[in-house]
Amino acid sequence: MKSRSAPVLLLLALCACGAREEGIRLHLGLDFRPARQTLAGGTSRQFTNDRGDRITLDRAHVTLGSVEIIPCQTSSAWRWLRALSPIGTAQAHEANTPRRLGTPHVSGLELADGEPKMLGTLEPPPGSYCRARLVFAPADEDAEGLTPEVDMEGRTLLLEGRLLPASGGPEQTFRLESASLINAELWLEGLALTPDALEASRTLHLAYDRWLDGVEPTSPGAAEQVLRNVASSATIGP
Amino acid sequence: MWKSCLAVPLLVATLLVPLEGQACATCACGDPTLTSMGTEQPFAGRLRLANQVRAWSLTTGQDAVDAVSLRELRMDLSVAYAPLPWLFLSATLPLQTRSLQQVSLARETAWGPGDMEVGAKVFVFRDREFSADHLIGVLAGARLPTSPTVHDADGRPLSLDAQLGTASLDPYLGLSYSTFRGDWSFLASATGYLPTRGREGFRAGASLRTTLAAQLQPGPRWAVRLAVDGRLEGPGDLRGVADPVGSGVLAFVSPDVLFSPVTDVVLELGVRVPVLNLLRGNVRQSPILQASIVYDL
Repeated sequence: MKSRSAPVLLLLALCACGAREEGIRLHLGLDFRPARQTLAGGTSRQFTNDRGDRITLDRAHVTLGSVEIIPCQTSSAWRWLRALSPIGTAQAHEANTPRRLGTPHVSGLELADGEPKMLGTLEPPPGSYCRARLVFAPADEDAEGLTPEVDMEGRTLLLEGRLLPASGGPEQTFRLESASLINAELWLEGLALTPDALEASRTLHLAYDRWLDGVEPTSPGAAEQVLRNVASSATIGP
Repeated sequence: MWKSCLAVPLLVATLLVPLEGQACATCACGDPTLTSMGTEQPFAGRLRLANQVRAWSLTTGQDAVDAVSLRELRMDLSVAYAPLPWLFLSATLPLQTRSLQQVSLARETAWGPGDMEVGAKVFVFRDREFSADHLIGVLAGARLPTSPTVHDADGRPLSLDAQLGTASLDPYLGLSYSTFRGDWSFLASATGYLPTRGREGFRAGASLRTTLAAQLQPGPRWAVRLAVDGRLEGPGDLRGVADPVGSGVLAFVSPDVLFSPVTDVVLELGVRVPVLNLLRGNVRQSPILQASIVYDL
């Protein structure tokens, strides 16, 4: 009996089997969501800025370099100070980690308003997360969303459009480019990722109709002001 | 599922334990030293079977940030045969269960055979034919790509670190020196591995493994052994991209107890305690617990 069963058992022992259990996952997306009334047509958008200027955006692309979520317990004065700083400190194309998506994504108004684009999935350790740190940074050659039509390599921001001043006068065309870095920190409201709540989703919203608030597009430094507005227009929701 | 998987090797192991012996190995080689697998004195026709169980774990990265923990329980089934007084041929088949846990609590588990190892030890020097006091041997062999690619229930392959081997042909070459002086015996060995490319284009780094061991045998039935094991690991690469994590130097202090309950059977219990860790990439190696049974036919 033993001699008969031995080969069978030996063959069974040589079989390999495997299993996989998913862990904590946070799916991140991005959409463009205006804060005020806008008029959308194809890739262009029409809206009014805070000064009453009538804006037509014919082209708008922005590069989100990385998204990192920050645990509540690691809050520190230094991080809060950094959150307040408009100066970016990250390098383009940061490394991916369990808490950080480091692959740059180029997004533009080809997306319909409110249509989310998947950025990726974080697989962080369990815990409560209070903030998400966004870094807008120039796209490198590996950035997602680069196409021959969307030549954003080396750029953080590219806007093309027209402005009809509220004060009257002729329509002005503008083109704004920036290759600067800028951070934004968003409140995650203590997002709890635990073994009992393994999966969650959050979408970053960019309110493009606020990007030209307080900006004179043809003035020097307008691109940097617009980039600051891009960062401050970001919000996050489920 | 896992319980049934683990039951199989235990049943196989029971079938591989012989029921009765035919001769006294220590009488045949003229030396009463209790020896673990691979350190024995040769004589023509010597046949040894061994079953060694080892448990260990390895953690890479920072806890609660990006740590990845690997745990393994393995059973090495070995056979060694000396067709000639100066030649020992050996083969080892590992049966492994491995668990890889990410910091996100994602876990992959695998069970199955690992990469089999075959080798030959050629004794190029002995000071005398019978009951030699000094032995010098040259080791040559290879790890074979016998580990199958392990998939999950959906048919997706597990990650490289969760696989049970590299599935590459890894030749090795080494040198060993043993000396037997009454109750004492000593062993020094060094073996170099030169892995080739295996699964998914991964190639483990070249490595050198060394052992310096001293053994005291106060009685015919038991002995104690203390060794220093060293590992020098070169960087691996994945499809040509260097991966330095885990390369460097690691040294263990390795106390063992050997016990012979009956003639021709040696039980060995021991631990490999890492005492020097100069591995790159924040790699922490746990102590390696091991137990083995060796049987001379």
